[in-house]
Amino acid sequence: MPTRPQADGLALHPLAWLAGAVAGRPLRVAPLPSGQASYTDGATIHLDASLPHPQQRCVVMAHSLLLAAGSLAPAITRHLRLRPTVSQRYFGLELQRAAVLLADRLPPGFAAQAGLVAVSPSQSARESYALALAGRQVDCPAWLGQIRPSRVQPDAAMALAPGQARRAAHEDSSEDDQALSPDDLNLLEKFRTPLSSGLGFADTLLRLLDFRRGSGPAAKTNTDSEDDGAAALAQTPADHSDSHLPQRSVSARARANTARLAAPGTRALHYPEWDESRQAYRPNHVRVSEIIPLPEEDTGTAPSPAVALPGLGAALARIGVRYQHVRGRNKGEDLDLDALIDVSIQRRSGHSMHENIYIATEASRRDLSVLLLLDISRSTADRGDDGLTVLQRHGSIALQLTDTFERLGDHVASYGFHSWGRERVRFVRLKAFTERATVSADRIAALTPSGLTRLGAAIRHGTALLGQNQHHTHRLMLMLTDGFAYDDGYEGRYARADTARALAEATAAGIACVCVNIGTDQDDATLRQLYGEAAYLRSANTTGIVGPLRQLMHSALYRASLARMRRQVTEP
Amino acid sequence: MRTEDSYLAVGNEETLFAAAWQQKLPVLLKGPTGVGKTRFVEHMAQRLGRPLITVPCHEDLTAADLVGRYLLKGNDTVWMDGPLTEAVKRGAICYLDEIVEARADTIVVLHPLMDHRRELHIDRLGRTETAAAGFMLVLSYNPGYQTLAKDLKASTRQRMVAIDFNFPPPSVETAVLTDIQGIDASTAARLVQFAQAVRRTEHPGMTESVSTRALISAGLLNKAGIPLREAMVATAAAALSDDPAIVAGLIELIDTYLA
Repeated sequence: MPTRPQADGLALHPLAWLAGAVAGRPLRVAPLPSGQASYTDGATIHLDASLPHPQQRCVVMAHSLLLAAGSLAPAITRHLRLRPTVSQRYFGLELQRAAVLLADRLPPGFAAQAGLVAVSPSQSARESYALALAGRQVDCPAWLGQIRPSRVQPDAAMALAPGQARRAAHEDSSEDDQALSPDDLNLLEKFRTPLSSGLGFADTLLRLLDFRRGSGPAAKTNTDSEDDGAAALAQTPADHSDSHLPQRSVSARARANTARLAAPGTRALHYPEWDESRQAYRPNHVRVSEIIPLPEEDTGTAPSPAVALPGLGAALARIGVRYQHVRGRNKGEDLDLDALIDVSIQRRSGHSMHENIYIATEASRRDLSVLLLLDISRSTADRGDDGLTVLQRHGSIALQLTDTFERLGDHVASYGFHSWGRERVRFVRLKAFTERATVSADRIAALTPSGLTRLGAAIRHGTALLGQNQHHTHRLMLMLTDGFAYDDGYEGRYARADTARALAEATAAGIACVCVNIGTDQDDATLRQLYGEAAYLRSANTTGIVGPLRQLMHSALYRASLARMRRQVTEP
Repeated sequence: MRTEDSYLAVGNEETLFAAAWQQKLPVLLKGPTGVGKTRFVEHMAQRLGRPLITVPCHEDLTAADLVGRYLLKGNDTVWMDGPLTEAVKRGAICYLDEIVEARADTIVVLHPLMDHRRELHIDRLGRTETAAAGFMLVLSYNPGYQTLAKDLKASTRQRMVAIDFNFPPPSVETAVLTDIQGIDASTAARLVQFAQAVRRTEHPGMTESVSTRALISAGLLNKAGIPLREAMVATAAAALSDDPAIVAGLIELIDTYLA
């Protein structure tokens, strides 16, 4: 039997397929530390990883069955909160019902393994609930897990559509459903006003007791929250010892973030910066380092909402491909007269020769290296009319571009970038050239906007990254930013001039640069100043951007190839 | 067991095809690979009593490959008809398989054949051939296939009668395995259940799904003595994707349903 790859938090779990096959829609599977009971929140099945593999398979199928049969409809799970016994009875009854209802989806051994029979006492979720209340139960093995009503996402009942799944507020201090007695909770419920946005007395109390309200709309869009340990770090002087971190209580996750940012980067490089007023470079002015995102404990992040880009594949496939006439082929459209005459003469003089007497039109091979740079500064947290933040929109575009380029056979890499002053410019690796595109989905979903935007440094580092891929003729750098070049000591004309200069350097190095702004507030005049001669695309939304985007990439590549030819002429 | 040209109908595709042939209309078969498009065309050609000329299309296919070219024979250049010209002259059914693989300038040659004129222009000879009675043009097209680069242009698509070929329903798929391929009923049922499970998961990284053809191969390997699980791993898991995460997921499915 082939060895199974270790499932880390970022790779697709092998059992995710099985989950999707039984549920009939895509699901994720994430491991739980041992001892914790398995459960699902509607988008992810959290699985006790210490179980033997055949049992893990059974657990995954069981929870997928519940989702497929609509057992986790919020209308019912709401009533299961703080009632663990009823909840467990309901779990068994629903599992039994689902297994009978969807028997054709299950392999023969499942029923026996899960301790189920061929007939279900209940015909609907509501009936199961009523039976559970009345004390009826179906015995099934404890290792099959449980229902955790407070974790069920609101859209667990329906098919997971992109853009509708929300991030569950998942804290390291696990929310204990059974901690508050029903009486206490009833008391608190009385104080909870439906219209409050977290300022009510009940919420204050709950927060003091370290209970969160769950995935409400007010949760976790605030980028200055404690979880962003970067804010803490930005206030410390520029040395990397832990002792300078402010002593206030931050959550474990923030601590992890801070430690990650404070750690010496994998590669710290220094770049110059252009000082427009002195018309000279400031050497070694900026320090850039890369972070590889660590596989975190599953934080319950939902897949990012997707932005529709119809026809992207067809459009991207046409850039960088040319048809040319090639003479002397042994099959083709037209006869190559010169070759034909040669061959005829040879034949008449008694020699037999090849038949390469045709002219063929051949497509030149794609030879393209692409680098996507994604601005993840704080300003990308602004929400647009479509309900998405700039980062979500750009992130979805970046993900689809990465995926499509990889399928077309090109080399592609993508990085997020942000900065806190000239000593701390960070590149967050979303996909290195050597990695597969599947890793970037999770990494992009886990991105939190923070920090500022030192565009010039990002472009120069991007140029260096692409420069390492020397064996590709065509190199394309695509930046998805909000168009604001702003950092500590980096603003206004100075910033715009440096950015334009960095782009010019990249173009002179033979790299095609395209800048994309979707749904941001910048105006054309500023952008033209910012991007200089480089191609840019600004649009309020994503409708119809595929065509113009393709054209921009095409013309940028063409200009870059001219620059390359010019360089070859001047440097013999 | 029926003969090699047997075909199990799923819907009205046979009557539709026969009617299109009678009315001299071209047909487009749309669907994923391995669901029976080629088998269907062979079957219909036999039923209608016409010869069948099949051209597998690919990126390097030129118009000359379809229409014909001059070849050197001794001291002379001699014209050789291509498969399309031959079909037009003989009144055969010309089946262009995976037409999207071919380039746009190659497909252009087909346009005058697809409307009421039914003519083939042979520029090199300065001649126009009119299609003989019984000629029919059949194209097949896999909408979800890897080469995203090419899609049939709307102008081409609109000229044709389209028949959708999807994965057959479980009853038909099982019958294909048992009646036509001689695989035993319980093995066939398990294979079909497995295929249904895979088709229910739509994963962005996978461009193909398990086709009937893969099931047939696995069943035949099993008949030859290979255990069912190994047979399916050989025909499905490695063939469908190179991404190790996807292959691992598929193997989990195989282990669950076919172990």
